[in-house]
Amino acid sequence: MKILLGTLIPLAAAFVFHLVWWRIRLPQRQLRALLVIFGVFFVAALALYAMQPGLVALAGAAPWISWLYVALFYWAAAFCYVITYSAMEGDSPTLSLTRHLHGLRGSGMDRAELEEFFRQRPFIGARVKALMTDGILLEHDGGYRLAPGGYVFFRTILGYRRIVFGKIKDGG
Amino acid sequence: MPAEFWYLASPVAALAVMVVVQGAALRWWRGEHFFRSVVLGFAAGFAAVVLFQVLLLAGFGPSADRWVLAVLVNLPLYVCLAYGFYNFINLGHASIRIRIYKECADRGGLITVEELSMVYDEERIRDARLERLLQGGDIHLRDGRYHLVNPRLVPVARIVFGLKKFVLRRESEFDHLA
Repeated sequence: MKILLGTLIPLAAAFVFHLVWWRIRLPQRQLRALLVIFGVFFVAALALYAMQPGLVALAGAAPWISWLYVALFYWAAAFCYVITYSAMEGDSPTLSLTRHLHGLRGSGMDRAELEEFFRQRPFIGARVKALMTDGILLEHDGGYRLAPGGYVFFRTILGYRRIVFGKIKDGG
Repeated sequence: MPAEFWYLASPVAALAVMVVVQGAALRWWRGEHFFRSVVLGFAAGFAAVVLFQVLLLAGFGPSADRWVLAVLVNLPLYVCLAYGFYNFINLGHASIRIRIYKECADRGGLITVEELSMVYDEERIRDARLERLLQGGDIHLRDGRYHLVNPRLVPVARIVFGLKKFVLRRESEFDHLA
């Protein structure tokens, strides 16, 4: 029970702090701000547990096992939220279209209406703008260039995908 | 190692089962049935984590703390890890941002607007997503009109748009159209 509460309490505190911050003012780099919030609350919780090991102690186990347990559970849950948040931040074309078609009940839409739906929702333009806001893409001579950086996260995703799926196709 | 170490390791081991089963299934199906491979991988990992908890409780002896670890911590922890893994592989599959990054990185870090439009424009997105929904049986073309025939994504859309409204106070980034 100590591990459960020792994880859920700082998570809940971080979530409430995030909601309050977002109500006051939406940060420009939202994902980064979210990770900072979860990081700060995690470090604070871990510091508290280092000072008061009894708060998350497991009978018969060394304190580092409890801390590792809390760390794993905390970050697994925090990343679940961050991932879901990244899906919320921008609209998914698939979910937007599904939702729109569901809202039309049984009447559906013809090709022209579908094209108009997508024309009014420039998903690519919105993502390019988001990449520029996040400082990943920079405007450069009539196009874009990648800002300096390792992009380990992006490269890991694409590398894993290449191993499991094979060559990555363009589009969609 | 104390019993609690093995409790801690069990959801991670179950995630490894999911990763292997999902990857093997996708290879077996030659890159088709992505979603089915994820469901299969998740089910295999879930069966593994449940089995691990039974073995741990039987092997090390049950106590109130261990029951909580087995049921209230390890099962949700596995679900969180599996959800993270699913999104990790799905990002490379569906994230527009990552695909734009890839197109730019493939060209040495520079891409013109025309090049981006050539490989990844609004029409391509529209057609690719439409094709995926048609092939997946979610929508159906009947008498020249597209109809939603399988509402399996509707609850997902409701959750995502509902959360968006709760956290961001808007339902869509294109709310100005409403």
